Amino acid sequence: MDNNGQFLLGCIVAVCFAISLFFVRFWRKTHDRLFACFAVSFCLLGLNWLALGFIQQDEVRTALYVIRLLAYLPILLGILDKNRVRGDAAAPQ
Amino acid sequence: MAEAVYLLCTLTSVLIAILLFRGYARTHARLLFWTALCFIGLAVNNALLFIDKGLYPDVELWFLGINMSIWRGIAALVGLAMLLWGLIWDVD
Amino acid sequence: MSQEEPKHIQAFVAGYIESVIQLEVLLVLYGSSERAWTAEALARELRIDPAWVDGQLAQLCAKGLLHCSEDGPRSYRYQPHTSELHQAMIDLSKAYADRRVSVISLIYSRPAEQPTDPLKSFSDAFRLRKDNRNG
Repeated sequence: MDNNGQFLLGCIVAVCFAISLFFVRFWRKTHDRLFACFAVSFCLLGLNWLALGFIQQDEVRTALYVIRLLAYLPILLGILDKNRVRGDAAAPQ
Repeated sequence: MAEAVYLLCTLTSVLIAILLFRGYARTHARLLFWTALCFIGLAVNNALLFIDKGLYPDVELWFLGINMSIWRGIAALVGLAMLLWGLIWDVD
Repeated sequence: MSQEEPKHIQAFVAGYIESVIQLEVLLVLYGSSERAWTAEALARELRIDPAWVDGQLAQLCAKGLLHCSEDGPRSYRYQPHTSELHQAMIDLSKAYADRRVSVISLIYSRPAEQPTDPLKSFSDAFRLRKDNRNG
């Protein structure tokens, strides 16, 4: 990958980790698990692009896309968790 | 296999964006607006990846003289940057 | 209707009380403020899910209504940050005892002009069930 591409990836990785940190802060502030899920997701997305930056081979061949798939999992789990029926039907969260 | 993942990621991103836009329409909380745009950007990133690797795997795609991989990166970065903007300015 | 309630009670409910069951939790703690409760004990007392109670207690503690102690099993005690909060709690518990329906309708009638916490809006956006009260 050429320098422009590498630079772009670097920016993306940095912003992903920064976003993840914000969500960690929100999770600590609100104790809402959904924010932890977003934090993990963006951290994994950051790692995904970080790996892409260093591994010079084709993304498809090295199965790096698995990390991308895993990155979306915490958010989906968080949404499911938020909509689970609790003992008290009127309970929030 | 990879193409299925990119397609799945595209659809998931769109779904999350829809939920966020719906929430924004209800509450007018700007954070939701920026986050929704971020997931639109990620959806575009994944969609372009699907097109690039899934539909035209043996060809390098170029658009307006710029490689598709750069366009993909721009889509993701713009989305992520908008979310970062919202996280900094629109929370409390 | 809920307009009968004094302003400080309305503000307290708007800022701190999301549901009747949350108010019940708070009232148990308020009624026995010398005692520290664990989530399990509270869940047994009110016959609700302990995991949910734990989340609620942590939230109420984060908002400055309870004191959370970490030595031993995590326990909570009613200890508001300010005397205004305490006064609001006193008045709210009296209002709840005397005019229960009015307080309940106050809890569930959030006017649209009230500034909502963006993080709460974010979290609520992912609630798919119809009984989303904060829309």
